[in-house]
Amino acid sequence: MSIKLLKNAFITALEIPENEINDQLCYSQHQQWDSTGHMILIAEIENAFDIMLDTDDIIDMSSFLKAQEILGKYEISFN
Amino acid sequence: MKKRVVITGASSGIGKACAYWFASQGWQVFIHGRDEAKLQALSTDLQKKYAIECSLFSADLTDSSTIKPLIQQANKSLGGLDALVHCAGSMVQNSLAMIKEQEIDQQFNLHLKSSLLLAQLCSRLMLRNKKGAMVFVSSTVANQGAVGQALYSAAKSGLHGMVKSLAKELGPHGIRINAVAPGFIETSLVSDYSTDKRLQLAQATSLKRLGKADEVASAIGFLASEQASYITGQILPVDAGLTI
Repeated sequence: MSIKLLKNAFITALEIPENEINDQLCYSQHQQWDSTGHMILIAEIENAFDIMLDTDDIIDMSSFLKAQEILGKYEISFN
Repeated sequence: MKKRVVITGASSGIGKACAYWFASQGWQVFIHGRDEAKLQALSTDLQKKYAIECSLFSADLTDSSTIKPLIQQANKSLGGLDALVHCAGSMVQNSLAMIKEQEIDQQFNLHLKSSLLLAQLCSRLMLRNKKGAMVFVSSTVANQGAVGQALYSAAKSGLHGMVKSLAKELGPHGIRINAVAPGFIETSLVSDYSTDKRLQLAQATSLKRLGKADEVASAIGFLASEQASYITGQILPVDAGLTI
């Protein structure tokens, strides 16, 4: 369930197809995931999971895989 | 759906006047201040007079760790955010030689750091709807300068740079950023001014009088409202012509 929510946040925020979302998807390496996309993505993730991320976590959220790891700190499980 | 606003520094002065202005326009209001008893009294009065929802949060914004809980609580109470009005402030009036380092930190934390942190958090809530407005409270001394106000004016003029930069950065996402620059307004910030000084200040304005907090609140309300939908990155003087 959580992984679907996270994927949907990426799809909505970055406007990229689901098949492009995988653990290797990285900030600044995909055309759509630039600094503007990142800001929108953070807003989507916070909305989807009803959380407010710490600034350090926002800066560290550099990949789809890293996003899962960081959200674990907010008691969101992806297992 | 009712519009939702967070107002900092609402326990007195311009912030309190803003709380009444927004409530009178039917907004859902979330008020912040340092004095919980005053906030509680204000909240009760607003709910009684305007039949609106009004929640509150008491904190000292010079402590940056209070800012995230403030916005989290506001989001929880309001269910989103349409506008931020950042009125919390204090003024250190000292000649250069008498300014303490602790006061420099306090003023920069209160006027600048808190503004940036609030903008960070609120912009993320507003991005969800791709719409929102923030209004910050500056001062005429930010541009004009004044003897004994080097510290206060430095902090407030820094705010101007922030407002213009954020207007450019957040404009494409539908978020407007503006500030008002009040002149001489009858608030606790100037409560210790002598009668002579008040007369002197009034004479320096075109309208020959000091301003009232609600005259600033209506300008803030305008900038936060849809009526100002094509205005961003502006510092609106509310100063009776003082800076003409």
